[in-house]
Amino acid sequence: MKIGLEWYIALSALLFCIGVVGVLTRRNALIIFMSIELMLNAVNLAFVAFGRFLPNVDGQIFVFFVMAVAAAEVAVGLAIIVTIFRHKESVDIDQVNLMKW
Amino acid sequence: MEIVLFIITSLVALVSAILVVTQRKPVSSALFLVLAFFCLAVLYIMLGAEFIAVLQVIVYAGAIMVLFVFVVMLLNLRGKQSWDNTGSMRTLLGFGAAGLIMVITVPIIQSSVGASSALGLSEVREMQQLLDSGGELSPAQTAEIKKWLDNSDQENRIDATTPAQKLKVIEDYYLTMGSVETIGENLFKRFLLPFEVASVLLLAAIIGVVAMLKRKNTASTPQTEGGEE
Repeated sequence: MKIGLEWYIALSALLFCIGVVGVLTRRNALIIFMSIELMLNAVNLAFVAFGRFLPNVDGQIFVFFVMAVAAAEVAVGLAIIVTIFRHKESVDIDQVNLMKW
Repeated sequence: MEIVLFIITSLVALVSAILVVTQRKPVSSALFLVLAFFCLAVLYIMLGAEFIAVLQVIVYAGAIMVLFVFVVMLLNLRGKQSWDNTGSMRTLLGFGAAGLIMVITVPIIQSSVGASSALGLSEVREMQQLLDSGGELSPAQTAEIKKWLDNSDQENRIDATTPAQKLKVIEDYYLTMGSVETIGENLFKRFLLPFEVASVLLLAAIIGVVAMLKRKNTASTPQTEGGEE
């Protein structure tokens, strides 16, 4: 029995959903950020799997760019978290409610 | 054998992903995320993407997670934030959203069963063995080879005339699809503009981070202090 495309896509969907649960449920900004990285990696897996089974090399090229964007996003996001921490001494997102009505 | 490796790797990836989301301390979450990244790198190698697998380890596990651990260390959280303080409504909504996404994704998974090309690497190897043992390819297989070659963008397919040569072309494509040479060629020929734009993006990110984190010097300079005293 061969491992078809659907196995990889199912695994990618499950990882993505675990990331979604992490983003929506946790209150620690760092854990939320790590869940976002998990979602990005799930999408990378889907890209590479489609690139292998279609077959097309463009899937892997796009994963390259997703990784570059993720690296830039992590740097900027962590800078934002550190800046918020400097003001509030906490990374609890429930306390970042200055603009809440 | 491949199935065993896939099942073990995917189980470890799923379990460590769940542990990322449910741990109390951010350091534990970061370490389990590194484990998940390594599992994904193994999956990339199974999919023939060697360059992407190495990039995954170097960039994600080696740079991004190191940055995470640095920030966790800098913030020095005492583990105050715990899982229990999340309200049950929020947890329910979180799981509900994830369930909704899975419900939407199930038809995609089912429809992807027939989306893959019928001529994978193992089929090509089977046909090559068939030809080596002196057999002939069936008309359906010959038509599949023709369809594959017509849909691809292989420059050297004009030289391939016999079925054995055509199968060699297809096999070489599958074997070199994830190599550094192939990805480099595509990056610098077809995707040159996104490549340059990505470098500008990284520059903007670096400038943004430094601009955000640089503390303004409120204390007076040494010369002024000495003059006033």
